[in-house]
Amino acid sequence: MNPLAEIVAITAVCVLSGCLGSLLGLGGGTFVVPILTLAFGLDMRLAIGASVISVVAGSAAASPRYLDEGFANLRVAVALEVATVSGAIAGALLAGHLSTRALYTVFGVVLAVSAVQMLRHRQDRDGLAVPDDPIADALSLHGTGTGTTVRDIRPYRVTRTATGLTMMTAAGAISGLLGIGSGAMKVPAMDLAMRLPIKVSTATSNLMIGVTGAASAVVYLQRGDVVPLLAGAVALGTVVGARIGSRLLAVVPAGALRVIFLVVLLIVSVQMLLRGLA
Amino acid sequence: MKAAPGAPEAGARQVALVLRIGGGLGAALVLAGLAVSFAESGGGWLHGSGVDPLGGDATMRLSDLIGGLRHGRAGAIVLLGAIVLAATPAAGVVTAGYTWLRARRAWLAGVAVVVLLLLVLAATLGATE
Repeated sequence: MNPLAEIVAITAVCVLSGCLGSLLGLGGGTFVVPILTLAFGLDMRLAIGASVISVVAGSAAASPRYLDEGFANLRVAVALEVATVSGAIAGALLAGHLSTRALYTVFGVVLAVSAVQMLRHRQDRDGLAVPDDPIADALSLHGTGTGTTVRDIRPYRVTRTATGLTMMTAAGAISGLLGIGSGAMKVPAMDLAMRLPIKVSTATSNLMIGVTGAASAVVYLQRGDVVPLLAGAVALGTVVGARIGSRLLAVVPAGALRVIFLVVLLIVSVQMLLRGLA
Repeated sequence: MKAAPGAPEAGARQVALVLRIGGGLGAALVLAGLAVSFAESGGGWLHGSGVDPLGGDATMRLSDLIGGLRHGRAGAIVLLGAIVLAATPAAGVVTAGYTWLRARRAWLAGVAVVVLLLLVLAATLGATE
């Protein structure tokens, strides 16, 4: 394949990954790095450098709509960013000292764990008491958002902010290490631990991914791990895909998307693990 | 079907506007850089001759930006776009912090300042790598 065809193909594939990443609150990087390395044979470190830029671009493209429509909780996002940015700095610095095979293995494990998270059936917790949380009270993190359907608007109370911060530190470290948004860890932390509605969690994750990605992007840009044309093609595709995804969030059935995503995640995870452990 | 789940919170519209402007500007610069690059090396891209534009030899550092822009290198324009994109979320945090400060929500404004300081730390640590 000549470079022009390669750039066009990468941009096209990133439209799809950006759309899925925006819809599921994962950021496009979860798909971008495996695609660039496994399908296009690009160097892992350069793929991560491009991915981290696309993660920020995708977040900037999708988040305005989520903020305007009241899906994303800005206060929760900024509060949790203290943890994710700290983790992302540590992860990005560590990535420069790990071998490519180690990165493949870590990536494969993270994707497998993400798949397991998605397999877990989410229990209906309506009616269950939400424990009081002084941090959430002090920062006024509680809000109003959708429940199971778009029209199901109700107030929600945020809880276990300390647990959320701990989980977000780990998510940030993975994000910095692998150049992904780590939404697969952020969404469950907000949804399961902090009790935010699923669509609020997804939209808030999208918003947070941009700031976490920016912390990692600065390190990668400083270190010279970014190929501008590659990062540009990936970012453009992701921006277009994220804009499409943000329009679809309210109407696409989450169940069907989760099934498709799960299958893709498992296949890519096995491929990455095989490369890392071969 | 258009969703209208809830009213946006204080500062959300301002942050959304900043993200739209930064994201749009960054994407436009990236697109312009790609167009310039194609105009300069399109023939090589089609025939696969010359330096691989997606290979390891084409990497650029942040410190290459000024020199690259002075010499009109297409990669530097794309890099500038990437930098604008990377700076956009930080601008969003600044906007949120300012809005909260004006609304006298000191704790939230303080958290925004901590996030910004961490981003500055990331840039400093990255430079020493």
